Amino acid sequence: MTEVAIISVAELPPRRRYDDRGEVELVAPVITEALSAVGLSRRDLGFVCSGSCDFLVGRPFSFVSAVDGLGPWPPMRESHVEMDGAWALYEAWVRLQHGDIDTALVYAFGKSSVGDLADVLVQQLDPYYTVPLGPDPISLAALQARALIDAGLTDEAALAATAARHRSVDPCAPYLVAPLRRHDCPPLSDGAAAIVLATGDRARALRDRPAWIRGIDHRIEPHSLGARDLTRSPSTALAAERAGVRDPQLAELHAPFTHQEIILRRALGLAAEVVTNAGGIANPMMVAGLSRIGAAARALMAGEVDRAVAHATSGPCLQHNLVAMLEAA
Amino acid sequence: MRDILTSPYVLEYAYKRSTGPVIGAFLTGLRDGRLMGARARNGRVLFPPTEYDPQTGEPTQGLIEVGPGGCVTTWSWVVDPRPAHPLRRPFAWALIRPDGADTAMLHAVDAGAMDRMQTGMRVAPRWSETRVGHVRDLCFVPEAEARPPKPQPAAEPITRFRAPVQLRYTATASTELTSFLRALMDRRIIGARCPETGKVYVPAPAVIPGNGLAPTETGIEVAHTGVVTTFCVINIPFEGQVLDPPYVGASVLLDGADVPIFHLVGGIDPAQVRMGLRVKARWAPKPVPSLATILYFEPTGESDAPYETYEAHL
Repeated sequence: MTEVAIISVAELPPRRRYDDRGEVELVAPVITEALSAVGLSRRDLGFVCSGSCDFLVGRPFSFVSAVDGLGPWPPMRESHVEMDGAWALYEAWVRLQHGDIDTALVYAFGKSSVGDLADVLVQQLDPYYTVPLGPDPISLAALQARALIDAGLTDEAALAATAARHRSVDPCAPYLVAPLRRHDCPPLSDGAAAIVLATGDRARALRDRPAWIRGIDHRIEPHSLGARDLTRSPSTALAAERAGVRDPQLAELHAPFTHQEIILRRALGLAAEVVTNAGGIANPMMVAGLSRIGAAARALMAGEVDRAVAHATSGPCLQHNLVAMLEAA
Repeated sequence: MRDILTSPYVLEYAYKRSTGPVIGAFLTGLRDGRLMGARARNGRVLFPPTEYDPQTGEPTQGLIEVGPGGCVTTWSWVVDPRPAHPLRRPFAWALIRPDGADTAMLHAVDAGAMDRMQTGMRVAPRWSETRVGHVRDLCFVPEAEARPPKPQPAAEPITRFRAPVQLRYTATASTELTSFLRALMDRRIIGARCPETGKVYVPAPAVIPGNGLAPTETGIEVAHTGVVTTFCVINIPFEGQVLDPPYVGASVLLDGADVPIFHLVGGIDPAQVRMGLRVKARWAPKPVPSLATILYFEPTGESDAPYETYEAHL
């Protein structure tokens, strides 16, 4: 197995909207920042992979427009996933396993502010049985929250307490979709992030304390919500097992809704003392998962922790989950 | 910087979906007022039915009627229905497991008030007056309020249904694109210079596509005149076509620019258009914030540009 590390992370501060930036203006600054922090230029890169979703802006091949921000000349080895950038990082990690290249750039961007995200996300559901009913993401997450409450695993007060760690909470606010209130739901955000990967000695040469990816895996559950046990995340548990998650001191979880943090903590078997950040302040679509991996890597590179687990999710009610185990040595 | 330009934008797909044998039988069942599940090899009954068991990947073994009554396995309460939702008043989403089934389907429960909802409660379909073989042929209600479906004359099995998609956006032009489009409305075409090669890119980009560097000099005005570097004649009609074929699409290298723009060539018989043709912008009488503010490029009447003058820009 080729050793792969995260050696640089850059992120545009998520905002409600970045009206003044197109794809290029979102990604170019984070690419430049991530590369220059480790003294690399675009032309040094062995591979580039990005994550984004054209439906967010309603523009076919929006991800191709973003490639201009990369300055891909002479022609680069480049790939894209129509997913959160965490899965682009997974592809780059796989590509680095070939052993013929020693660096890769991963970037992600999302600009959901130009459309109606609820309508857009309906399109990822079953087109025969579910899309014609138009269930929005909060409605679906609320089904999962109710199932968790019914199972005795949480209650609305505990959800509010979870939310309070990340954002301001009004426990008496009206329901958006019961049992979820505003503080249980992710804010809408635009954003972008970039991560630089390097293998073995190249990583050591470019960075004092690389964040080594000691294991990474992703798993998906059935499409039909009614065929799943929504109170558990077996895909997260299996991905964590395959990624070799052990004794993390920090967990960076991509839990868009408060109750999902509870499900993920159980699936990962996190001890109570593990510091858990769930990225609840912002949820830039297609960026938030990569951002959690970046946050875990930053903590490792800064020497704050030696072992961290990072998680990304995709699809309704935690359908698809990626887990990475990062270590300082 | 003045405010950026925005424009409403609608994305539509006029999909018709073919159902295959299992979903088709389910939708045909709805039209006939019945709920159908699929029997898995291990004896479980999957509802709604699928061609393959999502747990094992094995083909399912035919359809079996379930329900119509069933129970709610979990639910959520919509306070403020969205336009895409099936009901106009507050309602519950629920996962509903009909009697005889082992999995549940997402659907709406028209319960009237949130305090009438409870996990485990009994519900049954309320059928539409006219059923067409679609998941919106029914919603669910507390079981005591359910009524049997009205009989409908027999009809052909469902094999297809319309599944249109419509998504609304407000497109935003970036800072650079806004500057370009505003200049265009003043009949000025502006570009930006690459710090590495000195080349002028039009429209002015935020980042030079060739190297990812920020341009050093922006707002460089280039000429309204240029040369056709390459072109094509569109002879084929297609859906949504605005112009009548034949017409000419061309790469036009404006004088002062190093990168051609794509536009139309008019004012000339398409058969006479050629590489090296000198052209000038024909402006729309009323400016609009898009490249449509140039109607097309038309011949200047000058002699053709020699190939060597534009061969590096093809």
